[in-house]
Amino acid sequence: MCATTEKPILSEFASDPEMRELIEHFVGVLPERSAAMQERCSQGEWSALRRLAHQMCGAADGYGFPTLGSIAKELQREIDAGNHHQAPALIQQFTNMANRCSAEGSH
Amino acid sequence: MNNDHTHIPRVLVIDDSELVHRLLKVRLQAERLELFGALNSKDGMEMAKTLNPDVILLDIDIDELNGFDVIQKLKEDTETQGIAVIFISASGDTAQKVRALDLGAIDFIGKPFEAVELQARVRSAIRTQGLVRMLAKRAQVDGLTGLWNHTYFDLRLAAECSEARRHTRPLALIMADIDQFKMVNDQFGHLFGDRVLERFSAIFSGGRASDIACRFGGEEFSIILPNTPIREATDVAERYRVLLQNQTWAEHPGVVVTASFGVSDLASVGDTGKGSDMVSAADAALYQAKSAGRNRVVVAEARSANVRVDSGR
Repeated sequence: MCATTEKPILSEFASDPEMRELIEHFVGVLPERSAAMQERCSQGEWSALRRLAHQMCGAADGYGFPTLGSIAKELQREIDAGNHHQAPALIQQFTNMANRCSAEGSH
Repeated sequence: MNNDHTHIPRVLVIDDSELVHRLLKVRLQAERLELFGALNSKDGMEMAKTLNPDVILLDIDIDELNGFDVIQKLKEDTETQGIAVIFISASGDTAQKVRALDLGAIDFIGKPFEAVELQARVRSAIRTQGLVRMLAKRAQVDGLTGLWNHTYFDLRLAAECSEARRHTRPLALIMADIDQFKMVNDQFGHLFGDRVLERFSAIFSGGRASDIACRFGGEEFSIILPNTPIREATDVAERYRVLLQNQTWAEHPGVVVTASFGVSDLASVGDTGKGSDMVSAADAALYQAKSAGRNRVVVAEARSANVRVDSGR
């Protein structure tokens, strides 16, 4: 479900019947993952935030959302480099993008 | 021993992302394999030991132990060093790929993985692993009888001794030798001699599933009996003795082939006794069985390998 007025982002695997349920699940957990990242960031829990970013960058590409994966990868890289001040903006970017991810087209 | 045709390959995924586990489950669902998953390195290494999978799909960045630490520990452990490891990682860094392969990984799959490529690489790993295991097994199996060979016997007896001591369980050993086998060969030919060895081995193979029957060499056999008190092992040996004696031979009707047996156990070789001491004790008992007229079971009773004639014709 697209939560913004911007054009929804569909999975690259939307036409793959094998992936239908997986994509629905993935899109379904994105709000919770975005919220978890925001929470870790606000608490300054960088190691836990890095873990979430790492998990997301490994998974997003596989579910057909490479742009989302790229943001997660950048977030992980900035945390590794100690640039924690970059995290809030990247998480916001991730959240905006996650809100546009849609399981439509995979039905 | 595993029948390769009925063996369903096991694949263990060690990755900290539940989303990756779901993805792999679907992408590999059409493959003939059992898929298991661990979300952290500790569980992954424990599952590697208990499941003995054919292949492990291992993430690099897992938790406090990374994939490189995990593969090093797997390769250091004799129980897990033979498992094929494929790294799966979003990192395209060549140095990491080289390090993974140098540490013993057989392949490296980048994330995101193409479904067909992932499937082909896993199939390939399973196929290679099957061949490696078959060769390893063949090196430990006696060609004529299909029983485990002496090399395997030594390794297995040492392992069973450790297990028995760790869990305070009984462990018994039977040594068996076909009586006057040279005469059988000389009188009826080596082909018949081979038939006797095969038949005798088949009797052992048809015994208890938990027992480990080996061809010790020539016409001598050894059977390791885990978790078995010496009295029970003696009964097992007696059953084998009677079974062999009662065999009929179509090529030479009327011929009776017999064997002598020596039985020992871990308790009979004392607190510091090793597998080789069990072999010596059972051998001494077997020698006594031969000296006392053959076709009988003799039990070693104590560290000094005192023997007791237990049964006979």
